[in-house]
Amino acid sequence: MGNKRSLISGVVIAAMLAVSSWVPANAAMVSTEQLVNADAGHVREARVAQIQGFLARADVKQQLVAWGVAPDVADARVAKLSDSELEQLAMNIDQQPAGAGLIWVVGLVFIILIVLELVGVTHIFSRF
Amino acid sequence: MNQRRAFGLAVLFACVLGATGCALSPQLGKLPLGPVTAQPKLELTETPFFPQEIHQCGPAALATVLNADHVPVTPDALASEIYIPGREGALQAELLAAVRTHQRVAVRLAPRLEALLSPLSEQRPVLLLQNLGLKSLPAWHYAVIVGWDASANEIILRSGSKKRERLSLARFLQTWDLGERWAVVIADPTAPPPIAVTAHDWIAAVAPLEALKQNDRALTAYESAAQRWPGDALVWQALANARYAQRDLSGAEKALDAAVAIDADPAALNNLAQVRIERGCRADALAALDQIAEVPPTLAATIADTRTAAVALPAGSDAVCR
Repeated sequence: MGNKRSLISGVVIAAMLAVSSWVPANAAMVSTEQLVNADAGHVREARVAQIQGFLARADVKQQLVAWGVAPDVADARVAKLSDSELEQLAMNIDQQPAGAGLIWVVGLVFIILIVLELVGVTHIFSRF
Repeated sequence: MNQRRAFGLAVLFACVLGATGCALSPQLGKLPLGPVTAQPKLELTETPFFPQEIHQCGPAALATVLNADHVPVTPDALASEIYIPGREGALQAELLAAVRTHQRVAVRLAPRLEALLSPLSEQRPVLLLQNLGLKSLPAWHYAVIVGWDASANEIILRSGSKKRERLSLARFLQTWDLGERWAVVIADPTAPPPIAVTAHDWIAAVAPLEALKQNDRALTAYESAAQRWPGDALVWQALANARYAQRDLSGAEKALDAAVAIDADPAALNNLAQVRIERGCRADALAALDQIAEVPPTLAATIADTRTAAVALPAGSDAVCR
């Protein structure tokens, strides 16, 4: 427990240090990404957003690695995500649609056709 | 009773899968769709085709639209950028990010059939997410719309292993609805925006380029946005930020003046004040901050910082500002 807590505080401190080096002297400008996200209804104070972004990056990377993406590839991939994409993924990456294939759909359609046949709605197979 | 229930269930399944035409089936030719009225039959036959390997419809569909926009890239190369073995698929967010690394942007299309089909009139195929399963048991699939045929009431797609899949409009709409009507068009940020996209969606697609050190491309994209949508405040704010990033302070101030004239948005006024501070214009910076009618809580700290910086400027340095 204590270990976990110190790990978390370590990560947060590292995040803050990293953020403070990112935040340029012109931190008072509101960025275009912030503006676009504000329209979507989830604007946050800029610095909070940056710290959350840092943590989100780590979360998403960890999940990609768990799903079989090589760690160095996962790093490069996460670096390409925008803040809002990261935020979206960090919230519910495991519930996001992952476009895949049709294999099981073909099976499902077949089963349903058989069901329709059995209850007498269709007569596709009886013709053969 | 049992038989009736089974029959009802079967009909329900059939409807869900679009196997029967029991719902009112929409007709392409009868809907008020500008692009279809102009061209009842359209097919982008030149669109390349990459047959999908197992589970890899994301890389295949993405390669299709990128190659159609003259980006030579193979599905295999894209797989290492977007494919996730443990999910046997690709996430939308990673797909959008991959487009940016190939010097293009993927712009979201409004969730309407007209917006979905319009890009094809400009020779742009459309990448979309379909749910080929059920709402509670989804089967996600990426495909590319390459045409329609109003007389046959069909949408034509490059999909999976099918070079030319023809879906009835009803079935197509069903898969798109269940996929939450997600669709994007690929565009070159240095060329004028596609006709069917909104200012907001164009800016949202381009903004991440700034963080990727592609500021020149973002700037060009915002400039063409300002020509297309001169009445949109967000466009001018985006243009101002890109100019500011290139240290073009007077250009940034002009764009922000235009934004504020359209909408006295607190973020725009804050940024205008910041630009004026950096130009050494204390009174003008404070004037911009004073125009903020109500400070939103999310910007409170930023606006307070800006005001502190403005107040800290030496008074009497404003002579150069007007």
